[in-house]
Amino acid sequence: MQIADGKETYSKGGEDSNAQSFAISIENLSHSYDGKKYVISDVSFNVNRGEIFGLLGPNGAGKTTTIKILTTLIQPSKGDVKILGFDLRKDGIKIRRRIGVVQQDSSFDFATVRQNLDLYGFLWGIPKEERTKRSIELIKMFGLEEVANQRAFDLSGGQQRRLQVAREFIHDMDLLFLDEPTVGLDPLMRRRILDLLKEKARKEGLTILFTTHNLEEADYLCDRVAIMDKGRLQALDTVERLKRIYGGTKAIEVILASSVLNSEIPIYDNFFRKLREVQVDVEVSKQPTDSEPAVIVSKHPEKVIEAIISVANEQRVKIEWLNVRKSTLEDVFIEAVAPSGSSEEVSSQGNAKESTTIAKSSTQGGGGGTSANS
Amino acid sequence: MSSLPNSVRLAWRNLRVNTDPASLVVILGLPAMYLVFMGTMYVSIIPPFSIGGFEFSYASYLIGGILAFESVMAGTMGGSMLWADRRFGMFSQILSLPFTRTQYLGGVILATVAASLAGSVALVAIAIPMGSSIHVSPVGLVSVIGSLILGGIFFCSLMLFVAAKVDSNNAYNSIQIVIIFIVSFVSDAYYPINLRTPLPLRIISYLNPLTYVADGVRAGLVPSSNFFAILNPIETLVLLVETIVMFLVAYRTYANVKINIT
Repeated sequence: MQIADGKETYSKGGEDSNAQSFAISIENLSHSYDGKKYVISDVSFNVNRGEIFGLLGPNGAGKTTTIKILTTLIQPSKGDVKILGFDLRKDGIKIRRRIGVVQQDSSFDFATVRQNLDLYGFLWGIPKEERTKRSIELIKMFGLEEVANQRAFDLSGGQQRRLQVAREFIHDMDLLFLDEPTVGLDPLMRRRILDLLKEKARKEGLTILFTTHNLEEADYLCDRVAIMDKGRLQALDTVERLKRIYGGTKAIEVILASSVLNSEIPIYDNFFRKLREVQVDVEVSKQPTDSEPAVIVSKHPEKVIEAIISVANEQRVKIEWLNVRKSTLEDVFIEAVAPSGSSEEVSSQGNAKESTTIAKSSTQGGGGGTSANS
Repeated sequence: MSSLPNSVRLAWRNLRVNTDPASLVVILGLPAMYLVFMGTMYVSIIPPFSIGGFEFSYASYLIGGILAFESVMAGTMGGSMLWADRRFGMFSQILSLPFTRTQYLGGVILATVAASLAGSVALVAIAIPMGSSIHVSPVGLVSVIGSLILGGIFFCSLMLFVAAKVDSNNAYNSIQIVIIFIVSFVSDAYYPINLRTPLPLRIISYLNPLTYVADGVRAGLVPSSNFFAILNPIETLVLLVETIVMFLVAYRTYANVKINIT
């Protein structure tokens, strides 16, 4: 690494033509810690330069192991990985010169916030004057002014997380990995960090791969998301397309008039039976309570609404509330990682295959995320 | 500073992180207390004695052992660096930076040796007013510095081996204390080993590298005419071999160490 005018410059040697398109290129990645059980199985995807890419999945899905492999901390058992055009197995140092890593576990030196930033900048070879300037900026940017002279270990969980993210911006990089960076942050700070990441990607072309359990922030931040479960890629696409694929089933919420509810006639049962007579794919996913609506799941919400109104008129039942809920990334996530054997399994498995095909076709097509993004 | 070799940069970071007051008390304070308390208490009851034709006061004898002991304490600091970095996540964080594992190890060993040498200078400054006789000669200086470097590398390697093997904080601390106790007291650091020393303890003393570090330092602090009467070159060779073996064992263990303790 060389420093010129306070900025790091790097040798670009060793990059192949793929480096022009992809920041990350993964083909058939598998990993086992013990040689028996694979925690990652045959995962393939590409991440474009300048893209914000989310890696989602339940606990134990293999997200952190994937990040550890991509950041060269562990060697994969199988598969080919290129980071910024460099071969993961051969060019660890070259890769690490150009990436930043915010790990899931906290990591600090036994020093103050200010000293932690300074020490980290020192390790990156940033000249004293420059790292002092950047430290001051980062302390301000991440709202750490009041605790700047406190030891990192004395900070609250949220403050520690802020410091950990802030520290990574003390150096320049082309690709940033963040493993659940917003855990423990309050909503304001979370939004501030997400906006900062967005700005870095849009204005400076920084590629970001991050994992999160918070689907709202993935929805807010990511150009594309990959959903992993049990070490396998279940879905990969833009958030909007995933919503269309997985969220094709809409939720229609309905509340019938309370006067009817209090009657002895099982009015909802009759109502749903009539609905099924006119509507083949109606499924009541949630029975109503005094305060909660009945939820009807259908791939054709417009037909269901028509039927509801028609049946209500025929039955002389007053509709108090009718709503079609927009699909969320949470719907996508739940469908993609639905536990096997559940009633949702059949449809979610089918959708998972469909979406994985999209992921694979985008990889094989050489355009990777480009085709999926379009 | 930006053009520093990576191991030197890591060593500087290690020294900055590990030279908080509490750590300094352990690294420097403990040998200093041994020097002051043992020096002042025993010097009045132990008459001067001769080794290799050179007459030592107890204070003059002790300073060689205390400087050698400083390399043990610096070694514990080296082990603690890896231990703390594993425990507090900095080991994996540093390895995600453009550093190799070997450079990280180099940083730990360099910091350990630097701490050992700096601590020794401070201990000499304490020993002189206490009546320790110190003679400085070029060959003596080489012997002192060389012995301290080898001692620093040996004990750092030993503690790195422990830090790489053990996943429990209590176990690590307990093992460290036992090692310090056995290494420092079953050696000639504080008292000469002679034929009246029980055989098992004598054997352990002759296997203990601290004995040879202490002899190397002690020989370097007497007039050069007495140098080879105090230090047998075979001792230096034994120390060198022990250090290389311990380093290789530690390196092998360290190379496979888990990056995090969970």
